[in-house]
Amino acid sequence: MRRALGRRLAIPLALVSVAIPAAYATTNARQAQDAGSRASSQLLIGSWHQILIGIFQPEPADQLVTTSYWGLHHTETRLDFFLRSASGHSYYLASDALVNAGKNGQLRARPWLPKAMKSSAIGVVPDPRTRPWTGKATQQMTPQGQVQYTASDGRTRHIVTFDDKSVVWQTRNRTISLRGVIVGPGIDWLLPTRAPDGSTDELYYAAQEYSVTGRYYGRKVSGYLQIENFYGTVGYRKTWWYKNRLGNWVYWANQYSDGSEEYGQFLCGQYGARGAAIANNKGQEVLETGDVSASLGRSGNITYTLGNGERWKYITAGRLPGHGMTRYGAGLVERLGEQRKIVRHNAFSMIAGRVNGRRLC
Amino acid sequence: MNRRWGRPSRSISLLVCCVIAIALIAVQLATAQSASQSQTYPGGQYPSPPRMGQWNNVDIGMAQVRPEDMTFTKTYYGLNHEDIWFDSQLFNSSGKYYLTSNVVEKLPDGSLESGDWLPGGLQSSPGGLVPDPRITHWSLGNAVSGNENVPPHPAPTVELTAGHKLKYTVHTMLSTEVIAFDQRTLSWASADGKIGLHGTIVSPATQWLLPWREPNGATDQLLYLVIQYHVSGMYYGEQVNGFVTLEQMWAHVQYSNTWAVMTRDGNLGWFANEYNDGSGESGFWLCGEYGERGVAFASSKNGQIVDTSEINITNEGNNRLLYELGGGQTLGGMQKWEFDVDPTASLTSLVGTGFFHRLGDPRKIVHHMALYIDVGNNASAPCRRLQSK
Repeated sequence: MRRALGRRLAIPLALVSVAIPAAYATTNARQAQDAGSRASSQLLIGSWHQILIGIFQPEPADQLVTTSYWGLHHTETRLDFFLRSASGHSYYLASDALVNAGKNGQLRARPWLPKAMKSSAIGVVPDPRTRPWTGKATQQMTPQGQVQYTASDGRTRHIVTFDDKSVVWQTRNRTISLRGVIVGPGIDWLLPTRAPDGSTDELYYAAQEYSVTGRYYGRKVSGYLQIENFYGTVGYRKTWWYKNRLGNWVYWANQYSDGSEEYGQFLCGQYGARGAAIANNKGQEVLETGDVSASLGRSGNITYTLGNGERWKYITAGRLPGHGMTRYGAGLVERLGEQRKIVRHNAFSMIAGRVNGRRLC
Repeated sequence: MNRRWGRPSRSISLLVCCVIAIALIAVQLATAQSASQSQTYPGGQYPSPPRMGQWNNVDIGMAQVRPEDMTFTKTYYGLNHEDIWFDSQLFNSSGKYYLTSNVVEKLPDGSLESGDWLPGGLQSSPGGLVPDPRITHWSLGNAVSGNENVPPHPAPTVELTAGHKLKYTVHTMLSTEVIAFDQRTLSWASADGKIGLHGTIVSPATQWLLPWREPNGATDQLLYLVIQYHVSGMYYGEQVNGFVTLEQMWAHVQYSNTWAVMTRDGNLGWFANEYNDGSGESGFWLCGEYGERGVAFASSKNGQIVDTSEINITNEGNNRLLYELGGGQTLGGMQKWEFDVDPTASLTSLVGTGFFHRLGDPRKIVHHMALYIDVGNNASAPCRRLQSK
């Protein structure tokens, strides 16, 4: 599987002609890294070794953009999909954001990745059929109690409707039509941070993943759709943690041959960004721990050791266009020794900052 | 005074004093009773799976403390420094135990107020903790004395000294007490000479962050920090040895008014041990509902020695509680610790003090202190579940 994925996705970054904003503050990151190495042995008040992480039931009422948690307002929602064609030869990736910059529920649509991507003979490249989201967006609660987002890419209107069981993503011009069911409970985490100047802040993140099928620009596809909600005192990219993050974050979903499914998030980085949670399609928490270690192999694979003693592996299928100092990749996350066969999967990995050596956290 | 009853005898006074004190302690420690049913969740637990903003454990770990990080103007995550408690747990040369807990709290206008957390002091007795009549109240003037001729005292003050210590000055009914501390040492002295304690920090402090979500959807959080100092010196004419615990809390309201405290259900506590190899250990645990679950212990030699959200407590009878820490999802496996409750220094089932030690630890403990509080409906069978698959 690894080799097959690699053929489809692996690309040298230089070949990707995508204009990516360089939001990363290198100097700041270096200073913070120095502070972090001290902090790792001498945490000051308000700094932590791990996040608070767990599973949650994704009730629509909890995901209205007017809802705040601990004084952290909703800053953005990201809608990501990771699709494969029925033949398995084509891969599609998109990530769009609905930004709530005014804290008042007035949403603006933006691309998170500069463009939707697709696989090609030379690797993953921008998909010329797609256009980035733009302009005003809306969120409403439908009479059926579902959350519904609408946004435009300048050519057509996207309508994404979901609740704690299912999701539908459609465009008015029918280029996209995806339907799916939730993999399991969502995963949320709270990351409190303390910057070198003593200021503190928090980032709250909550995401749920759906297994979807449908049509994408005329092709039958299947894959996964993730809805991510961010809450903070400032927008995600303005948080101290984002500007200085160091380490790895991977989220993934697997469907097994016995029909069971799992959805997980692993974080293994500095400044308290450490923790792992796994939910299954029975609504159960399979794992929740602050004990995570990870090492990066020469091949780009990552081996995780989690608090329950289990070892997991991220097997890269190739790198995706990066973002400043952040490297993205797609692939597969599997439990070492797992007896069930993985019949469908998705994994999206990022490694941020100048990771020193093979140990990621 | 009614002539029939006449002047109450000293023994009756003491009995009344005991009853009042125990009632006050119960109110102070078991504020769970003040939360109405509508403020709690069905079954006394978060739903399963939880909703957004609900976790079954705290973020917990050790912390290096610096005086400038503990001033009353320092905020964390928008939370204000609301309270600091000064708790002493001391033993005289014959092993008699003394316990006090006083507080300095911030008022809405930003000024500080001192008070008794426990009503005065407590001391061990064959029947358990009883009031220690020698102890000077921290509560303000006539509010405690009932005597209008006793004027209110000046408010407490806190300053960061030129020597880089935090210095609290508290004016009591009979004297003035000064407590100064930093990341290494603590001193506690009263102007009347009755208190003269000096000591050093046992190990890095323990901190935890508890975010919660109330049944009406409101969310809030508190940050808590506890530091243990091993002290010795004079205490009301006796040479004593023991520990002073500093507890500090950052929140949006005072500790007692937080939803988490009003609905608390479970067992929480702390300990400090000094070993014959010269090392010290201290830490804090929570084993309850609404996210109040987590353990962090630190050593003066080895840093953090326990850090887990997995905790289970079993009452094994004969004043022994077994603590199983970690195991399922915590690297390093399970550690077993035991709390040997001293019934002469405890208060019904609410407060236990005694000896907390790791099973199988070959080191000899030369000084010790441990205290737990059991509150809520589940208090008699606290926290039975370990997180597992």
